[in-house]
Amino acid sequence: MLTLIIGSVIFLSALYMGFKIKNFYLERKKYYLDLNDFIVYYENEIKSYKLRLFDIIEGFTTFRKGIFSSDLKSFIENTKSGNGANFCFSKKLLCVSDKETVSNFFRNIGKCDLEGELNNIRNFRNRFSERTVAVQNKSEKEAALYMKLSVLTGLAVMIIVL
Amino acid sequence: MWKNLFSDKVNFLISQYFRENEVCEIRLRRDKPLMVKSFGNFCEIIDVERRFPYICTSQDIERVIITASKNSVYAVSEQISKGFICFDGGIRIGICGEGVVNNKEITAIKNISSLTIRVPHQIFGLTERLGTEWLNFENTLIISPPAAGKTTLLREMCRVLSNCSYNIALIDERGEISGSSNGQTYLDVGKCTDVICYTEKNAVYENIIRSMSPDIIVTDEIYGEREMDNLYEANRCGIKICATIHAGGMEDLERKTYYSKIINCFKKFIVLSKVPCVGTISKIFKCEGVC
Repeated sequence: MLTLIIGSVIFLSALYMGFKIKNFYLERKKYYLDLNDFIVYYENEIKSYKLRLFDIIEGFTTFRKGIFSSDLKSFIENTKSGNGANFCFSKKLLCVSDKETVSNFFRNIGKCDLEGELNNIRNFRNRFSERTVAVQNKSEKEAALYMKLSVLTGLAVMIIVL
Repeated sequence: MWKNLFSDKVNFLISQYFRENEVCEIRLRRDKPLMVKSFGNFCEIIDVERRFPYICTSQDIERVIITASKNSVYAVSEQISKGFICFDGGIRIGICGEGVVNNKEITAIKNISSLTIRVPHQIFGLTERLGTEWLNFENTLIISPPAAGKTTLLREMCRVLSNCSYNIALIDERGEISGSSNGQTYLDVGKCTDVICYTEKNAVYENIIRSMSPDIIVTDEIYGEREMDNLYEANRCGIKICATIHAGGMEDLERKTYYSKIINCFKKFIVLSKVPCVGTISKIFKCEGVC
């Protein structure tokens, strides 16, 4: 009986870890997708209406939830409070080089005339779009892989214990 | 509101000399002392710790531009090409730097070297000096040199006329008169005033007559014959005009090429002077022109 309980606990723990890892990869994929959606939205809004940055971000984050939206909201608060246009990442979802690219983009956002701003956006999209597709594919595969791995590992350990 | 444009250090230094509501104008020139004006002359701001005048840096200028544009320089690039940015509360920031010319038009200003920040002050009761008969309103032109208080007087006239139930169309190209920002007016321009702001004036006259049916059009700083023609046409539609023009006095006004159009359009003239102080009405007279 005791071994059954221990085995079940180990299996459930492995399953839980599998879910957490899968969640991490799905959050990562969503972050990249939200970031790309924001860049497209930002480009359209400034091209069509020349809306101010804060209004664009507020419009984008009104109906969107997720880690990227809350990072954007923190970015507005930092900028409005005079702490500088620093983009802070609340979770470690991006790799170091991607973080640097995103930070540089947001550090320079809104500081040029329209043509300069659109050029910055295009450069960022050119550098980041392939990366996003790669991360998207990898995240899906790894999320599925780690989920299966954790289930199998949990089962294996449970069988061994039993 | 102007305090939001500056760093804590600059705000602290200015506060050693003036209270927030006493500041009328702030001038930043790169690598030159910071100058602030209250209701009198300009005053050099001394950095108390170092006992030297505070010298403005390019970072101070950049900070003002970024804050005034709300981190959206692209959104105000047209204003910048015209040499100014409007900020909350009717604050106008004049810009000097290197012009970028394209097809003989200034399309941008780069390497900004100096800023003039003008803080509007609403003063109630200015129209008491005009008596009461001016409320039977006739086309009125305020003639004044720069910084003599014409916009302040115009704002007060607009407010009083509007509260006397005249429908006013206020054409506020730079947001200085109404202090408009995001659809909200920070300065009182009256209960019956429709404000059109941040739009080139000559593009607006015809539309506003057709869509808003005003009794009086109020506009600041008439410049050029084309605008004078638009106002003349508006007057021929039965709409009265209350406007200002840059000139030292009637002698300067007579030298303008469109002087005859001015005389034909306006019946009443108010001449302002800075002597003995800003806002001094030196002359009021009527002119029976032909309309």
